[in-house]
Amino acid sequence: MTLTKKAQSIADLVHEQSVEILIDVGFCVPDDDLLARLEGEGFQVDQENQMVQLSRDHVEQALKNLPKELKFYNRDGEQLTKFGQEACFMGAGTPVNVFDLHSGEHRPSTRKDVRQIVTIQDALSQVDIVRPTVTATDQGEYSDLVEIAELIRNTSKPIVHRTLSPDRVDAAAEMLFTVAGGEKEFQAKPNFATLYCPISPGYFTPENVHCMLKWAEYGVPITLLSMAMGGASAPATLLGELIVINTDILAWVVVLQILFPGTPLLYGSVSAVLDMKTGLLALGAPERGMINSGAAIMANYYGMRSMCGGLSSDAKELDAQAGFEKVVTAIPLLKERASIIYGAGATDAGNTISYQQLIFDNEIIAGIRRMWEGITIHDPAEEVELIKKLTPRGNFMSQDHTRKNYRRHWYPEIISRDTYDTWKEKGESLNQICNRKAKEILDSHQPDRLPAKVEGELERIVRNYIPDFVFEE
Amino acid sequence: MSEELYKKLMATVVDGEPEDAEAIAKEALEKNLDPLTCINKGLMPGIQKVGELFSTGEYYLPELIIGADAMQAALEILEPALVGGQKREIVGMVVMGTVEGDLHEIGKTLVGTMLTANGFKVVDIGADQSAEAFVNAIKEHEADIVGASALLTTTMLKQKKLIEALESAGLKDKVKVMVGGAPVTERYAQEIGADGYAEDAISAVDIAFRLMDAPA
Repeated sequence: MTLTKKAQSIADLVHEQSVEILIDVGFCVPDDDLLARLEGEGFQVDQENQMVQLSRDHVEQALKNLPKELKFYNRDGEQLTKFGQEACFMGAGTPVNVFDLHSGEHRPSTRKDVRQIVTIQDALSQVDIVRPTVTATDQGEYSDLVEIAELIRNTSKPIVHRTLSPDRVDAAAEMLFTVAGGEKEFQAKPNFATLYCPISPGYFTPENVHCMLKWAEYGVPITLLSMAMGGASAPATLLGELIVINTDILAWVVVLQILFPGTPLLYGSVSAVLDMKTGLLALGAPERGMINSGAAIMANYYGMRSMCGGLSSDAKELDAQAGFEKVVTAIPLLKERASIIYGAGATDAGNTISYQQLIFDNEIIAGIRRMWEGITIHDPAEEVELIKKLTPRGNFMSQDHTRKNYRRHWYPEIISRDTYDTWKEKGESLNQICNRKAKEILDSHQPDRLPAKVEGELERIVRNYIPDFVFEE
Repeated sequence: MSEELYKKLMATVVDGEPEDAEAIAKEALEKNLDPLTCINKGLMPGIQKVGELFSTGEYYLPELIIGADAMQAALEILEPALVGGQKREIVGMVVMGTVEGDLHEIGKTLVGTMLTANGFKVVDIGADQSAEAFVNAIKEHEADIVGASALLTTTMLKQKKLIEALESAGLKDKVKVMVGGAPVTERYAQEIGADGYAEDAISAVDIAFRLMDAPA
């Protein structure tokens, strides 16, 4: 993908600095077996400190090994054609809190929330890729497998999730391959990608490393998802933070492409800067979109697909702050052509998921997608002829041209353009509308179901971990 | 002469200059100044001033943290020089760490710094610490408060394990337990029997004062 001149200068600079850091200092690989393997591949390894240093040759070879393209499919094997062409929007995830749909109470999220929020994402027109979005906190240690099972079952859209422990990758992969009809079949048309986060700078937990290696063996797309915190785990300047993000990702692009050439990888970042008044992450800040747009630039530079945190908010309710922050954190990602914008449904700095916000995010996405089209250039001969005909003081409304074209403009489903009197008469606030729409979807939307035999197989796989696991209606 | 050095010591904290703080603390000892007076007349007014500037919104966390680092640098010189029964006055003794399986340190360290800046003595045992390591540190330092941090939805369960370990060790009534971290909520803290929960480093200080029954 060609970069703008400014993006190209940023990318050249950041790549070069990352390579320098990886050559001079390297990164931590907290696993002795893997260190030995890397040493065998010619990496410079410091066993004692578990550090690995790269050479320029490794970096060049790894970038050559990256697959030329990455396609994403739905459960039925249909390609998500906009992936790689324009921004796809994805549900957020996966905090442990939700605002209850009925009482509004801020409470721990459950398996039922996972099922419902996946179902809603399946129904929403603007959500292209589905995440569990919340954690099933009532499912104990193996919640990840329950979440993956519910994801597979309740949406046919492409899905993204991760396992918490390497021993569960086999079970998760078995579920995915069962649905696809086999491992090769899955690899040919992947409908699932996973994601793992480094601890910046320069560290991945052993669990996450082992999970990634297992997924790579299965040929499942992996997102290297930086979560840098500018001013805490990365420098306070955006450029400095982007260097940390890129260094952490590039390190593992190299490891995975040298060990598993051609393994499908996504370049991800859900980074942000810290609010230094409180020490909390500022996810609704303009800088949130700005820094992750840097990740989109770097992904495009390497010819990779990106997953970027945006459409974010620190608001605690669906209000003006939420609206402002959601848009302001998404625009920079559209501008730098992120492949996936990651955040629908999240509020409260990503700590809580809101059904109402998810419904309204669908509206926001539709609006900004329309905005992003800009003024399209075409031959205006028909328009010019009409203008000449109707000048002066003519009315365009009765013209066939108007009838054929006005629907290209955006028509909201939630936002009110009513007069004051009509709005007053309807008497429903934006929050109430979103709440009602969420309930309507849950009452009426039935995701396409898998064959009963396949569902039975999924249940059987999860039952190896949770003996009484069954799907509920 | 000595007054001037106390002022200089105070300024290193207010301006956040750890290297200067260390140098001036050494200079004070060379000039035979009383280390406890250096702490009480130099460092304490310094960190109080930093706290004041923070609460009025002039300072943000980076200034506060570097100020606390400066105080710590001077304390490391001055405290070992205390003689006889001399003891720095502290609000309370705190043992802090991140629970087992969790390698995230930044939030916990920030809380520790905030507590240090507010007159607590903090022993930071680091990340990925077992319940046993917490228990041992609590015993060794006779802690009034233990702070356990967890950043992951998976490791927050270890906070509960820690409280169970404190109960088995007969420490639960002797030490107050504070928990925190991104996924932790007030509700969860109550469920697992923690004494205090704070959603950020600033409210953590208020909670710690409350647990010590001391005025903030």
